[in-house]
Amino acid sequence: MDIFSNLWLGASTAFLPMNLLYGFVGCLLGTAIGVLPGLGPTATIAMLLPITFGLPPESALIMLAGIFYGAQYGGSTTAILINLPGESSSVVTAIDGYQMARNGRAGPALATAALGSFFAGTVATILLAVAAPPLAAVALNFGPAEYFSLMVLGLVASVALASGSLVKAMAMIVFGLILGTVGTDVESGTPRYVFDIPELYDGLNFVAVSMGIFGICEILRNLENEQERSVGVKRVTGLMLTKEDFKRVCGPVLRGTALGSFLGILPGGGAMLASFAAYAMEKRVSPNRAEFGKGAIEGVAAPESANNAGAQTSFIPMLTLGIPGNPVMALMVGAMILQGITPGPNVISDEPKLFWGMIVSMWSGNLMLVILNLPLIGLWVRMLTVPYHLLFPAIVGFCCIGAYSINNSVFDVFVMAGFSVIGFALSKLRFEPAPLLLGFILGPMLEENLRRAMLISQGDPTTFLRSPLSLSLLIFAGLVLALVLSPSISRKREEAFTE
Amino acid sequence: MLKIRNGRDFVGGMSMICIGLLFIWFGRELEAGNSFQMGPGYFPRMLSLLLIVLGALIMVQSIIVQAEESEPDTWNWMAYALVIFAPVGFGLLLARLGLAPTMFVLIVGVAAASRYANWRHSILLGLFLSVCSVLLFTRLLSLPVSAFGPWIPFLGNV
Amino acid sequence: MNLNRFMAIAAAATAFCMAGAEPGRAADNYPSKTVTVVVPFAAGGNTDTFGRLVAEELDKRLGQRFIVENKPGAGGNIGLGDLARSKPDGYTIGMGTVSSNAINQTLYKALPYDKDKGFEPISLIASLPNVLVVNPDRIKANSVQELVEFLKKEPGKHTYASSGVGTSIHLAGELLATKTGVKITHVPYKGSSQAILDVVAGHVDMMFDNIPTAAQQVKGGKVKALAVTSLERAALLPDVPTMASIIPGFEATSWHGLFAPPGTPPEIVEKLSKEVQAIIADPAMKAKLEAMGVTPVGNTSVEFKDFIAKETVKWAEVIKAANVPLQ
Repeated sequence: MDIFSNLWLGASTAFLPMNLLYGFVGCLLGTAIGVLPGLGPTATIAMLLPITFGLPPESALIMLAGIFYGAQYGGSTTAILINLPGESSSVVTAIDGYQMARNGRAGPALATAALGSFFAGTVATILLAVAAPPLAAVALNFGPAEYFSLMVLGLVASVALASGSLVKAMAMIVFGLILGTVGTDVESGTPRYVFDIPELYDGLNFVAVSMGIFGICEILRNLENEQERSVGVKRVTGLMLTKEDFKRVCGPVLRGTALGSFLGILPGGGAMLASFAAYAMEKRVSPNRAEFGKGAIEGVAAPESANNAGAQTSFIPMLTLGIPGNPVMALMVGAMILQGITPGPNVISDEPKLFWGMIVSMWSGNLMLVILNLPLIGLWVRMLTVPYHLLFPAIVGFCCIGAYSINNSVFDVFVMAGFSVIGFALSKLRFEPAPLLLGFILGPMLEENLRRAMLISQGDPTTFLRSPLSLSLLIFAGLVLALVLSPSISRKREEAFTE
Repeated sequence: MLKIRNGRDFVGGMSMICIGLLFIWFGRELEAGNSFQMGPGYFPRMLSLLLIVLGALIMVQSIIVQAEESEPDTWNWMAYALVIFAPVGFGLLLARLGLAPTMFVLIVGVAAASRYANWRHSILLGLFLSVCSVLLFTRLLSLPVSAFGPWIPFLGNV
Repeated sequence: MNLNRFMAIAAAATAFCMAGAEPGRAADNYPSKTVTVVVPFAAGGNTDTFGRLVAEELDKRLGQRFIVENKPGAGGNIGLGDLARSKPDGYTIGMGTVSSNAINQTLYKALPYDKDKGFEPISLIASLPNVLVVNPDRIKANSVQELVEFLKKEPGKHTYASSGVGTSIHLAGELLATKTGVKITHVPYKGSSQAILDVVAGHVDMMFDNIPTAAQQVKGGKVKALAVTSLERAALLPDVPTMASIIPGFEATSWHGLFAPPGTPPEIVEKLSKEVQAIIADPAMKAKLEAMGVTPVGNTSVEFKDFIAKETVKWAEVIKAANVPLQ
């Protein structure tokens, strides 16, 4: 069988009117729920999972995939509009996206996110169709040692996220890493910093922390200087991208797609790295790097494309090996098992209709998302013109429900409140929150893989250097670190000199 | 003579040192192991030490480097208190009052944080959002929380 | 608000609740309102799946809504803590597993509920055998005997993966080590999917994994299955011998059952138990579960209680023998 007959088989499944409808309904529901603050893709899929129980397997999975894309896009929408990343990958979108929104350019930011995601999704889907099995083999080469080196690279790159002081950004990363150690230690099973609170055994929840540090904290800052009725948002200028914008986003979208497609294949947290690795890279190579952090459109285009490309390719380990790479994929596998299909290495040959149907529907799902969301941009932007004194209570309310819905427990609401205080104190001291969150995401993966690699190699640290893949990642991390430090060191010298 | 040129960073560096010390203190019983056989306490302790070093660096910097001029902050304690305690109140009341009344109280309470607050608007907004959230979350998404809790007579689900 | 009227209603409500706890009459009109089924794990997992399947059938048979409520966290302890605190009137019941109801009792120093009071077992729904899989490139063995010999030649050099410290997958590995005296290094992961991935890729040598996912990897030729941990052979892997046939007394299944809070009237427990037994005995349900690689059980509450007692003792011994640190 060649690729075209496969795609034809897929298209004949995915383009059935019923399946198109389910895909559309999935996108719609996903967007509608995902755009509520605090409800990211995992929560949204978990909530909507029961709806798909009665459907035939193909339709159920197509609908779930639609919900996934919708929720993911919804998360980016809240990141841009109200500085509230709904999941880890939209943390960096919030940095420049929210600034764009405040400059009255929420429309172009959302359009960039939608179009960039669609392009990335298309490319990644083609990649998936053409080369899923060999790509899965690449994923298998990443063992604990390689993941550790990858995480080191990610951490080094995340220093580049800071727009202010380098030392302060590093302090935030380390603080985030420490917060990531809260909970049961994976290797020994010892609880750390849990103070006998059972809810803390699984660690602090990312969504609750990020809602506190970003969303609620932003409200606090806005209420401080509430001069106008709609806080800080300048007059909205145009909803679509200008010609100039188009020129600026092309490069970032291409680079983001490439990076995201690759990192998404790695099931041990690669997709999480994708968006901010893309951002960090763009901040280095972009001719407009001075604008980063103040509303650069590249700062939205790159991470959003990387994020969506990664979201597509993260299906590769699940579809070719039957092994879910992240919580969302685990939910999908759960849904497949309920449908009587246990995904495994043979799913391509045993269930070709399902496999290729999924792949084609990924593309159609992305298409629907664009069709659905481009017209909605006007609506979202108009939301910003709602007087702020009516908007922010609603945000606080939905944040509370969102935090509650994570584990159906009020504990996460308290965590959110606690972190809004921490975030607020940090912002008063001019610390940036994004590096903290990235440290928090990467910390557990860094530690786990470090210790796992040491365990497997029986305490031999050369394991990180003996694997060529790991070695090259570490060398690369060293180069990036040198690159990041050099301009700031020379700047420091100058400063010291003028003293 | 040492002069603090950037008071904000001085405090910031000091807070980082305090955080590092706190985590070392609370993790004092965690076994550290050694670099070849790391125990559960190894990683947090190393990170805390690193944070202390970085905090010290920030403090040193605050003494050497002049702060950039920035607008003085305005403080609005009333708003902070309302917005921060609202989620706490939400968490405490949710199981007792149920979603609809809790949401209403939350919205009306939080809305008071704005200087443009106006009771009529707040109450209308509160009613609207509690109806919306009940319809959306308890009816459509079957979040396990009842619209009216045991503290509400007649309507409450015991 | 008319205070008298409020008091009257409160009194009536109390009386109604008391009536619910009164034996004999309790079961006749049970259930008269919505029943909540607490699942102490996240949506989409095995426990959730079984919980939903049974809740749906109970719904049909008893004519009242049975709503599944996911309360994940701390290895099932949070959901079970909620279950223990809810009113023992049969309107809140919950799912429990080998981890949450037989292993955590020993593994955790403190539980958010009274360990001695425990729960009222209703019925064991299903049990999932684990299967011992090895990476064929890393371990040259075609049987458990060969594996043990191979491991004895290089003590401490080989590794096994698990889905976390204190899970039934981890303890099955410890059971192997204590029963045969081999020295293998435990490599824990967060959840079994990352673990099996590293076994497939050859970063870790072997693992005991739940049969549905492992059987797919075996069929795909990625790993080799040496034995299953149930007392009978598994339908998904009929050619694979049982562990117990080679190492007597080796049983390590991951089971999922239905529980009621302590103090629930025995009539209600019995009524539910009979319904669950009938649901599991239904051929369509049986077929559905077996296709998932699961062994349907559906026993009586007494049988289930004895089973749990035996399991708790067995795992406590393994935890002690293997020196697993308590949480």
